[in-house]
Amino acid sequence: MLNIDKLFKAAKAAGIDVFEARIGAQSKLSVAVFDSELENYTVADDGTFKVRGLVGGKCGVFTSDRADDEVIDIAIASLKESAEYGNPVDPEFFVDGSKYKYDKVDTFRAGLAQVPAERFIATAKNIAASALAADKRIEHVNVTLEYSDMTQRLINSKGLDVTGRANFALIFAEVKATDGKEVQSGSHYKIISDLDAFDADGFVKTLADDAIKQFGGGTVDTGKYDVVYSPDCTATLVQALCAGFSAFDAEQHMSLLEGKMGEQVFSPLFCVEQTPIGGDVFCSAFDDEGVPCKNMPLIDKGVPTGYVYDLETAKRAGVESTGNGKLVGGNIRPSIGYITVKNGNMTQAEVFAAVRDGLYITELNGVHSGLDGQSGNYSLQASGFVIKNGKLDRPASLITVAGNIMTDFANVKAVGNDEKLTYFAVKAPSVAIGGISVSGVKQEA
Amino acid sequence: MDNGIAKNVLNAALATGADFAELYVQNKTARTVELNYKRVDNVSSRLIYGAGVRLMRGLRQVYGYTSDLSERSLTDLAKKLAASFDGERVIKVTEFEERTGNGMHAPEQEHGAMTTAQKIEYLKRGETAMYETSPLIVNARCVAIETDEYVQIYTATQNTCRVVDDRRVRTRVMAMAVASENGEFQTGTFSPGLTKGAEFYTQTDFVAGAKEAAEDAVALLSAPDCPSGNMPVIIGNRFGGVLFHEACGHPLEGTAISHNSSPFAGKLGQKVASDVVTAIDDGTVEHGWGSACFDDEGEPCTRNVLIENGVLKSYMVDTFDGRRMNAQPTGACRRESYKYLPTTRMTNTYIAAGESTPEEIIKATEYGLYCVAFNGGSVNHTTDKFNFTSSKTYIVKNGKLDTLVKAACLVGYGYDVLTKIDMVGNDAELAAGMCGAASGSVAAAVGQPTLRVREMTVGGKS
Repeated sequence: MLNIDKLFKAAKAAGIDVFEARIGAQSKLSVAVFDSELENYTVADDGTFKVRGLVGGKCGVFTSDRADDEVIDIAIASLKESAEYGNPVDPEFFVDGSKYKYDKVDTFRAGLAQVPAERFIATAKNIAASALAADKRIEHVNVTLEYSDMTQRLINSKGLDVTGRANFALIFAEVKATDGKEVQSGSHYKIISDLDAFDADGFVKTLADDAIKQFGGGTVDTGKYDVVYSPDCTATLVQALCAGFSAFDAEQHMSLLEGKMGEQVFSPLFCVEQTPIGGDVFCSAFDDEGVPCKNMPLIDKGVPTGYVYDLETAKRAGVESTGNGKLVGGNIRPSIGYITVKNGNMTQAEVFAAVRDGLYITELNGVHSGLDGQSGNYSLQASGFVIKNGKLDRPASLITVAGNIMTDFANVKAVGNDEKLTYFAVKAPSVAIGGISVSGVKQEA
Repeated sequence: MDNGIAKNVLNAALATGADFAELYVQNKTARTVELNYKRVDNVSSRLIYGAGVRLMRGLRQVYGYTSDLSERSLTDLAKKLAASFDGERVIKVTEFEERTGNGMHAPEQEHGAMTTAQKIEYLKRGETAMYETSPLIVNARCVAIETDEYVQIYTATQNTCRVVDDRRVRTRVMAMAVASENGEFQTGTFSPGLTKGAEFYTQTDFVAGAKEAAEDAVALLSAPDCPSGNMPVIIGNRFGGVLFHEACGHPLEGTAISHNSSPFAGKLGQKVASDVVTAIDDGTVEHGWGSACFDDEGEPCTRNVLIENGVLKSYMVDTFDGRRMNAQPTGACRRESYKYLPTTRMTNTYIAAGESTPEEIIKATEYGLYCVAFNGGSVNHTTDKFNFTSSKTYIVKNGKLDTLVKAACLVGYGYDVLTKIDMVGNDAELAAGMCGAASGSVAAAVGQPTLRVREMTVGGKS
């Protein structure tokens, strides 16, 4: 175990004027079931240890998985070397311990922490067995249930000492289904904070449907379509869009939103906010600088309302930090941790009806390569369903969608009330967008 | 790790009847030197240090990891994992047979042979070249990433008790240019890497690569949108190998095959591709980006011919998936770090050279696309639907290169596209990439010669 006092004394003795340590601990339990049999079982108690400090006014960093006294000398030497080439940082950007009060977040669920491993295993096995029984075309099922308990403590030489803790379980399952001619796969996941409230039957139905409803699909004609993006797809695109709220990127003239604050850039139906204070697992009371996080609007009825700041960019702009400092590489930069796209007032069926003829896209693939956050352009593999006369029709098996995140959200036609907590740290509903370029895959018989 | 401690840990782990036990110890330093926003933006290092204990009994596998390498911590972890089984001991470790690599990928120069100041100067030359390319370049990011990893892998089975030592030293440089005009942004990238030390810097023409990245970003600003629809596609060499990596490489990994969730399962010896396709996963390529002497379960890396003249010859297999497949491991079991349960992953995967010149392939194409640079892709190995993104693409008209167009995603079914490769060039080369999958992000090279797919679906906007 790392002796914190010894670490801080060593930093002081080494001439590190202001010093900060970020101690992360994580315990994990993961079970993987294949066709009702427990196949993999993983346990871990692990940690990460990051230090940051000023030497002669310049900032250095070091990160280590190893957190014991033997790593102290390595950490101090590495931090000093990093600082030799580091960026100048004002000492006031290391937060004074008495400066802030913090809102409470409800991210740790004691009940979930008490769940024995046997119950997680039984839950995963039950999902697998139910999925296999749900439809005779389902041939194989994989279920992974992972429980994580994470603690983050931020301490500095100016008296700051704050701790956050979060726990959650993630259930992810995928099935392979075949009717002898076609092979389809389906998947579903759920982030869980209360296992007692978990609707296993509903989960299995969604999982099975995701594969079964794809049978009999085909391509679509290449052209422009009105598209309804599912909550997961919306979350993917909004996450990329919100990178543009970084005040640092705006300073560097690298933000798609530069010069657009206060203007009607997007559809009035489109409202986005950052929501770090609350009870979802992605919430946090403080940012990586120890500044309190706060809920605030980002896009109000289509109008971007303001950038997000860390302490340094806030000072340059003459404003207060919005609690968005994030340690990226060796530097603190503004970043958004948890985003909520506000629900609309239409059910998903009403959104389909509003679109009348178009596509419902349930899956986007290749986002890491096909979505350019810098230009906002994207061209992605997709699948989903044809919307005909306001209702879901046949599956669209393998198509591409291409657009631009700036212009797309200016063309929002409807927003659903079906928000979902996605693992992209974005809570989002279905959103209908007009004029998306779609290309259909022609496959030879 | 002391062999005595390893012996005690494995014996504790084997007490309840496991028929395989492994202790994986990792000590890796990752160092980054980065120029961004016209300044030295980041010089930092990270220590990745910990151990994983893995047990198998039949078709069940249990795994645990920790960054506390004390004997007590590791033994506690071993006992916790052993509690998953309830049998009698079948293996007792007494001593380890020691194996070390042949040093074929060893660095000529340690990373420390170049000072940080020299590396900054090296990167600055690339940065300057990018800014000098055009006033439309609004940012030039230049990064050097060095990793120096030492692993010890102790393995106990009913046939052998061994310890494998392996050191992997990798170096990669990246130049990323952003061009902007009238509120529009475009990017260009150059990012080679090899399993080499500091000699990699002097052997790489970073300035030329950086300059080309900047030229690409500027040219794309005025490029029209890529067309959409189905058309012939010529895929350039080097990183064009992402086609095979995504479309067929992942579905040929043991993880997919052993669970019967790949269209290639049960098809050994069958024709799965056109005659001109021979594909190989080769972890022995000297200094290859994905090379090592041993894989991450201590098996020697191999040259594994997957498809030969269109016929499926082999899969990539790890020990655990090999149990379901009744197959021996092929030395391609990998993991990002001790925090990941290892599984079959690609190393350096490529389509072998054919006979056509790239010029002949272009000349033989009346209309289509020629994809030169790529961003990466993904695949669903069950359905074999795959995608990858071409970031530098030309339209081919009447056998000649025509207009440069903006980036677009290309999609298809892997098993389908393999049969549609109708011309293979003679210019095979490898390129570095990072592959993210079940066992984390690992260094994986892709490669191929220039080749033509007679029809693919292109997700453009025009």
